[in-house]
Amino acid sequence: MAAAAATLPLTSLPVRAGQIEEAKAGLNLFSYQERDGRIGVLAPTAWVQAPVARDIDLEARMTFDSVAGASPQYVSNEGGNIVHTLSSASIREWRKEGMLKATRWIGDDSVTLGADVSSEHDYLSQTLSADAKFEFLNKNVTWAVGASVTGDAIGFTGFPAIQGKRTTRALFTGITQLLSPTDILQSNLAYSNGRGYFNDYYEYTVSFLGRRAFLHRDQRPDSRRSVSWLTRWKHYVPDLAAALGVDYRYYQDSWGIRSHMAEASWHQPLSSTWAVRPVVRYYTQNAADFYATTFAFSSGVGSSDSRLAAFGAVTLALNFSARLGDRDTLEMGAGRYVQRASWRSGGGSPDLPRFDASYAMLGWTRSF
Amino acid sequence: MSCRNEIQTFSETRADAQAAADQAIAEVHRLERLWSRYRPDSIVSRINEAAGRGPVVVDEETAGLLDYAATAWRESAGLFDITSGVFRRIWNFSSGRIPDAEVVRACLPLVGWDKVVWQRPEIHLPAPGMEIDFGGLGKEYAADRAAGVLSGLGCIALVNLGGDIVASAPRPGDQPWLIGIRNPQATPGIFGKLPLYSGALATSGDYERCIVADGRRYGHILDPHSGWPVPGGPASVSVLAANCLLAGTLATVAMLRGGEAKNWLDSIEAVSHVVWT
Amino acid sequence: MSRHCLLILALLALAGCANVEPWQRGYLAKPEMAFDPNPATAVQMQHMYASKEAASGGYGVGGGGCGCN
Repeated sequence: MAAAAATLPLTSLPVRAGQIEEAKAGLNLFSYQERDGRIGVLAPTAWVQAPVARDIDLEARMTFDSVAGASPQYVSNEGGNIVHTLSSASIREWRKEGMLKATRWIGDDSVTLGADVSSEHDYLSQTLSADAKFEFLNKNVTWAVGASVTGDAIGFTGFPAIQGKRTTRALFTGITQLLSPTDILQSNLAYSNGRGYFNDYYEYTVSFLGRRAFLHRDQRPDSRRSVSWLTRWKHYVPDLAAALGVDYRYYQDSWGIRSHMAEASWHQPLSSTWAVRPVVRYYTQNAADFYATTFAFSSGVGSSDSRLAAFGAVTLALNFSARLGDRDTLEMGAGRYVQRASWRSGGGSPDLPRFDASYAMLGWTRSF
Repeated sequence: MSCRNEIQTFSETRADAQAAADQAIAEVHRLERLWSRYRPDSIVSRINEAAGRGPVVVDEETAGLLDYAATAWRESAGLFDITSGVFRRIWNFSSGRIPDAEVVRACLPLVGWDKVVWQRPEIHLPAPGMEIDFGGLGKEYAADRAAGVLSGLGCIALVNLGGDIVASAPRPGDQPWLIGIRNPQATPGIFGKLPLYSGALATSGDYERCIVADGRRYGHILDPHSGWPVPGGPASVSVLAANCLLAGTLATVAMLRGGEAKNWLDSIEAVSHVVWT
Repeated sequence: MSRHCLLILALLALAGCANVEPWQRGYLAKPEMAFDPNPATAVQMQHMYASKEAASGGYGVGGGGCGCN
């Protein structure tokens, strides 16, 4: 037959094709190190996405973090200056996390059920989630809607021993739209309502005021409601074969915190194998209503946790990716993350120490 | 041609690409006018009209395709047969009913390439009611011709005529064309993407038009020897070959080989394939 | 807050104002145009930021928690 076809006035082309990509799997290694002897984390992750039955896709991921180093323990105003002190003991901690999601396709729409469990020696977090995606206008518009509930159990065996519980319910909705052959826009709204134990058991504040001294243990409200609004834009530049990504997120919660985050990336292929992607991110937040570095009382709501202070933070990162053959991709990247009170326009919390961390990432993805 | 067709082409300027695409489309229309059984003035209709009466003289291009059809019939042990369109009259896939066995048997004398008198350039269908159609050939041939027109004009092109695909060269930067291949058992949503650099892809599938009666599935690809669908075959077969005509023939024959489809395709060198069961 | 509501409405109004045909989606299908090409990396980064900043979320539903408050 091939010979017969050859006698006809038709071109005969070389047949060259790759593998059909249906499933993907990967291994990742994430390394994070804070400056000045603080926390270091090494986290390997394995993940897979694959169709498993007619109309059903599965996604699974497992991470194992090992954490070492000193973490903030107390804030004191001894000697008139605010001093943040790290714990003297160097901790060794681990965290295991497993996630499983199943997606059922119904035409072009889909429904996903997910479960996530994260555990550390004194903390267990379990989440159940469900979300659905609907396609409109010939798949130009995708509407996603979802909900989740998280139960956290915190158990500290120190003195005093504490058993804390917390339940967080969340709602999510978002729209993704193709704006043009080169532009795609996504905007998501997330609402979260948490009730229960929010304190950081390990932190406390020592305040010398006049001739009195107060020891205040970190205590936060027993509820936290928040709203996040994230908008993401990807723009392709055909002349450079590059893709620009810009994200902006506004966040507000019932602890009085408002924050803005803006992130931009530029994905630039350098050859048929290599691509480079620099990323810059700017983050700013104001302080929680109950944040302070001195307390004239020993009990009551208040926290000196620098995560609740007012500051600005910048991330600069560079990532590289390499396509190895038809099926494999290797990614590597490194970045620097710095927080400084002065980087928040309008000023940050006074006496907040500068925070400095770097991270690196190595990832391998294979398509099947 | 009622299915969706598209041509994607790259050229020096947009105007060049548009002009090239227009020429390729014109070629496809030319072949449709020549071979469509729905057009009373096409050569195929004239041949069918003359069934039981006398021979019809055909042009060089049609003669070439008839020679190819004859070879395909021989080499597939009669499974690929352009006279099997007669069964269309009795199998009504939109009604959902399977025909009676006697009705199918009554059609059998009208089917069979061995009964056709083909002596280039004359073709004669001896019995009234016999017919030929280029259903498994015309679209694939047109896809190959359209791709030829485009590459002859110096363009990189992807031609897609309702799932019969020809890629003359990779996209600029040696990037592959990503062809979505449907898993026939799933409603659209799950499909793999085949990266195609060059070559032709044709798919023969039973899933879109079929009748389910008494829990059994009757596909629309019928064995010309019996008039019934082949049991135990895959739901669809996609074949990659040097041109679409060959890919299409192999895909159709593979489907007709039922449970042996995969083994048979494995034995043919210089093609690769995907079989969905 | 009302300023933000206006922006949300403007975004919703955008829906349906452009129609990108399937054959025009070649660029959009490129892996570099995906929001998070590597699911594991995206999650790690969000986890890192959530442990150092007060804000989090907005990317999707169902992420895990941790003891980082």
